[in-house]
Amino acid sequence: MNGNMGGNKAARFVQFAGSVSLEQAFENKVRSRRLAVLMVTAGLFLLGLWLLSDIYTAEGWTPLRALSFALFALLFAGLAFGFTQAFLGFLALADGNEPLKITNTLDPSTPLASTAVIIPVFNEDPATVFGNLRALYESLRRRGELEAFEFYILSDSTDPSRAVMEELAWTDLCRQADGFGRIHYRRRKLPVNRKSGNVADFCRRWGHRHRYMVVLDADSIMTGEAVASLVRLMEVNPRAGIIQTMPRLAKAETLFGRVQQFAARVYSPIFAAGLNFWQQETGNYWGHNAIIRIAPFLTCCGLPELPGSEPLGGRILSHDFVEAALMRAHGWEVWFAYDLDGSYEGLPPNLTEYVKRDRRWCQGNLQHAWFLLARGVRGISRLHLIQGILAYASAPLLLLFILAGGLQAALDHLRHRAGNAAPASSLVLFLLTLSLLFGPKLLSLLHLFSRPHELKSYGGPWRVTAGVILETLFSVLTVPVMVWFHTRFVLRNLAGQTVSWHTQTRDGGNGPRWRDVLAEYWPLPAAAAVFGPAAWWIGHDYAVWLAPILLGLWLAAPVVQLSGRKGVLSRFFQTPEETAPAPELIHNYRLNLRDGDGLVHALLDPYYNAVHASLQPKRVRNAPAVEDYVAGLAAKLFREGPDALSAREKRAVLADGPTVARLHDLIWRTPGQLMNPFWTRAIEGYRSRRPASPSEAQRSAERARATALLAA
Amino acid sequence: MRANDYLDALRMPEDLDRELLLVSGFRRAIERKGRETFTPATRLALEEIQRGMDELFGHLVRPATGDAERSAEERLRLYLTEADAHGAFFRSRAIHGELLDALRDIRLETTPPLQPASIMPKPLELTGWGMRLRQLAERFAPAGNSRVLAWILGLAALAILAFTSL
Repeated sequence: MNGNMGGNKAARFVQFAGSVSLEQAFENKVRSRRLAVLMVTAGLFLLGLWLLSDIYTAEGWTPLRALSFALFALLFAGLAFGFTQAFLGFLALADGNEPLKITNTLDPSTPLASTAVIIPVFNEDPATVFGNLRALYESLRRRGELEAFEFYILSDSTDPSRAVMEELAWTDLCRQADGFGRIHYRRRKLPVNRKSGNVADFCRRWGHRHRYMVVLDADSIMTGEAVASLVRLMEVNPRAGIIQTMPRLAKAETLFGRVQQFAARVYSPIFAAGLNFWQQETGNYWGHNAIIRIAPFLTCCGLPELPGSEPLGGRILSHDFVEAALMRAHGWEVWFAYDLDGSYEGLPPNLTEYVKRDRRWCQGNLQHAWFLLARGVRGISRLHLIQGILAYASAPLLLLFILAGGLQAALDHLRHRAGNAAPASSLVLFLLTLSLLFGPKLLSLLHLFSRPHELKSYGGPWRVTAGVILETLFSVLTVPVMVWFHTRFVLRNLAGQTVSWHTQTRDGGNGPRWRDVLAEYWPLPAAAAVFGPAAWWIGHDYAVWLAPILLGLWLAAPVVQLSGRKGVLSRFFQTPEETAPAPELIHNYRLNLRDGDGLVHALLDPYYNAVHASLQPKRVRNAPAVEDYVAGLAAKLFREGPDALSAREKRAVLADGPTVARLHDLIWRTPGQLMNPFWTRAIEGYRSRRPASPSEAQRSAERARATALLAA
Repeated sequence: MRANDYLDALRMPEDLDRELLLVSGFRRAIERKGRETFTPATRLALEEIQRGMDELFGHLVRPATGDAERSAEERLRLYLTEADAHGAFFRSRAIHGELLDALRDIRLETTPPLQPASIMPKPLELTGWGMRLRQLAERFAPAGNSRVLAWILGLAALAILAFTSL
């Protein structure tokens, strides 16, 4: 049993299991749990299939109904499995005495081992990244456990402005927190293989420096206690290759963000407990807020190139599931510390940003199909991969299911065939589906009501109930939008294409701009305008069935815009992270960074310029052609201003320290009338004490003062 | 004006040290202007301010440093030793020996020394089914790449299903 149970609990477990060894008892117990999950899932699944087949038999089988039946089987299997997981998780939490969880082995007296905290970033907001890192750094310092940790910001940023600001944020953070030598910053010139390549590059450079690495995302926040606990769990579980925490969503301000945050906080405990209930040491890795044992990661997790080219082949985009599968394939354990507190992450502020993120994840998850057909991948790892694929592929399947049903209903209407021929089965199937969909929400609420102290931090029983009702309504409205986007993503990827985004969301607290929203979402009400009357023509009952979907399509644009605003329904959707946040969540570590374009600051701000120039690698001598190229770009930058250069050209100038230092001198020393007005205006931005245009009286006074001083 | 802006950008407090730096810089600039008539006054003033900075902080930089990098190196030291502490440098050049050595050796190291390891990608080994599916996918990939063809095939399949379901 790998020592994964606390002393008393382990003894109790052996007693319970009889005379068999602990290892065997663990295996027997886990096997029986998985069998229970299989039985409950299969029971619900078969009941659903039987009811639908009864309906279709009464109405008469047709090829369209056969297609619907097959699609229903796929979708209903996922639904039944999800419900089973939630139900068993609810029971496990109600029992309150789960013997099989990794956190049972936590011993606070276990010595820590050398650990790297790595944060791969790509054009992220430096204030957020470095602020969150500072929160963890200070948390560990307060606990007196900083010595075991080193921090690495692994930047793949391609935006020259962001890259400069990252360097300055790093310097400023190290200065403020006395972090030189402990907080490191590395930027790759080319983001080869994206995040997985970034992490692999870290491993190649410093893989033998640390025993573990804690992987954080740019918006991850972890408490020092949580990170130290992960290291201790690794130390006492030598077969554990990865331990994943359950990150809670935090710091959302918009309605959309707060609804997601609330839903995840209320519903995820039973799902997480249910997941751990059956998966145990065969868990999954979600790419961040997790700890990894570096030695096996080096030997097992070199990611292969996939057959074919992107989007479905080539380089792996979503590395996490694959790395967990590879660890498992080599016999290492992957655990889910679902009840370890102090792990948080942020989330996109509005639905548009949310689906933009899904676009990348969808492509990455679809690539995982190759691993379903690979040798050596274990059964449960394949199940994780299938779940990841179906998270997106279920959208086109659901759409096709609805279309096939609608088409069949239209054909029946044309042929004047009778409507519902098996009303009893239809009603039972309807109620069963509703139970599987909404049952976990009720179970979550029940679980919360059994913990009065925790309930208070959600705003009390009435507010949390109202929150669940409102969240359910919100999800009913947004599901059609998600289905639409996921369907587009999947179909485009299958056709060998990726989805590009036409608009850029600018969010100033009032939600995305109406113009952007309408430009992106107009096809949804257009589709509703076609399908609504069609459904009404097929039959009024059928239109009522489709009403929630049609309503979601009609209201897509206003829902997206309004839910992207801050301060809407702020009395609802409270979570413990809002009402009683951990100190790490409410930190106020401000970096002393100037606002504006990093490139301009790198050239004009005397300190930023010095820091940036000193951080560029020293070259013995560039090839003359390269020097001419950089000099030409520098001259163009001086003459025409930053807009005249492409991002690539800006990067080329910024990469040359002496050129950056020379440009600094040149711009400051050139009179305003002899250079581009952009630089004159930019220089005025550094003026801190005097007004931009001093009056004649002020000028005279200054002259008099200078003359007096000179005379003295 | 520009010289003052530069000292503002350096976040130098408005005190006597700053005034002295400015005044001495201006005086030298005025002297030079008499000799170098065609050199812009802004340039002369900034160069002389820089010379004043060199006199104050130049000894903190390694002697061999070239002119182009000297100014940046000086500013880096000012930045890392906190801008608030500028006054200490202005008022006394007699900095303690060890501190002086440390200041001369200042170098921003963003990363620790390498302790390299190897992480080698392993080829993906497909099962027999996987190989067959791969071949199938490669055969039909051109059809999938044509959006028009994909729509025609999809709609045709749906039409056949609908026709046979009548």
